[in-house]
Amino acid sequence: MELRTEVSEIADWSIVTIYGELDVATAPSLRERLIALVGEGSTKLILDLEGVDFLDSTGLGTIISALKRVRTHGGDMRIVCTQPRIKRLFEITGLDRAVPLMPTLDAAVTGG
Amino acid sequence: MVLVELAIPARSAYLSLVRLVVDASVLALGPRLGGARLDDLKVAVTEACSNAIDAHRAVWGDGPVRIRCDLRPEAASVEIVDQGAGFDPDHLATLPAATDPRRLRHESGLGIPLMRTLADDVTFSPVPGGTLVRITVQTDAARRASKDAASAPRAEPPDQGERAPAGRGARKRRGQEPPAPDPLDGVASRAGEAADAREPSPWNAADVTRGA
Repeated sequence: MELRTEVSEIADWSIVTIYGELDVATAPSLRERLIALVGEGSTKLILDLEGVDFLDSTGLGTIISALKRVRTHGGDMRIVCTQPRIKRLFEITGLDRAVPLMPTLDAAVTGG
Repeated sequence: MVLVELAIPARSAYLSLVRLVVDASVLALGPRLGGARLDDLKVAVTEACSNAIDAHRAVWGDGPVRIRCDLRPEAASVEIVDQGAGFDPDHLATLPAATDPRRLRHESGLGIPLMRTLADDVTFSPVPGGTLVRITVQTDAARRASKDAASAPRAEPPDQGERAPAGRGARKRRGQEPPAPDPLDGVASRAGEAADAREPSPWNAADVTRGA
């Protein structure tokens, strides 16, 4: 299954909305997209995972990589995720303590 | 018991097909896992298949990685067999715990801790020419029964994220011959009834390494 991403902007945040399955087959394309975004100066990223049907450790690794990259550039990252099966993977790996999981895009933008 | 077998080329593009087959097999043929447990199984199987594909490609290229779903009323077990260079899950690089901010320095190494946390049981067994990983997820009722009956309860999963694969080359075996051409050649699957779950076969090689 293809992975599809859409990028939009709200305030000073770049919103990356991800659709499809994020695994070792599809993660490289997301990684390249995120690296390019940060390279273009978008260091405040919101990853919207509500359209993600599947996530594995490679996908989590891609998110960790992007998180490190934006923080290195003085930016930040937030994640929109309410799907229990996806949230569970963040909780198991402790990644939810490193990057906030928000219930809505509005909450991610406002930080609340 | 029902068996569903699948052979895929060792390419990550086929992982979504593996998930489809596991999903459809469990839903159509039992056991009655809840949706969350079936999701757990698919993540664990994807992790194992990703490792198997990496290992297999490193040695043989595209040849088949085999997946077998063993479906019983109380549990689903999925076995993944590669013909890679071997792998010792007990010799893994040490990583900081998931709660340690230094853990973020490591982008890989999450797969095996995830497998062990999500599944009820994970075993890694050397088989002739490769490695067999067996992942079992039980129904909630079977889990409760196991806990009640167990004189030695199953160890809780380790703290997440302490260990990562040190590399499959760590226990590279010598003298392997390339696998014979596969009659299934490409993608094939079949379902069938099996009278005896544990007849001797390469799939059922004795476990020598158990998930910690």
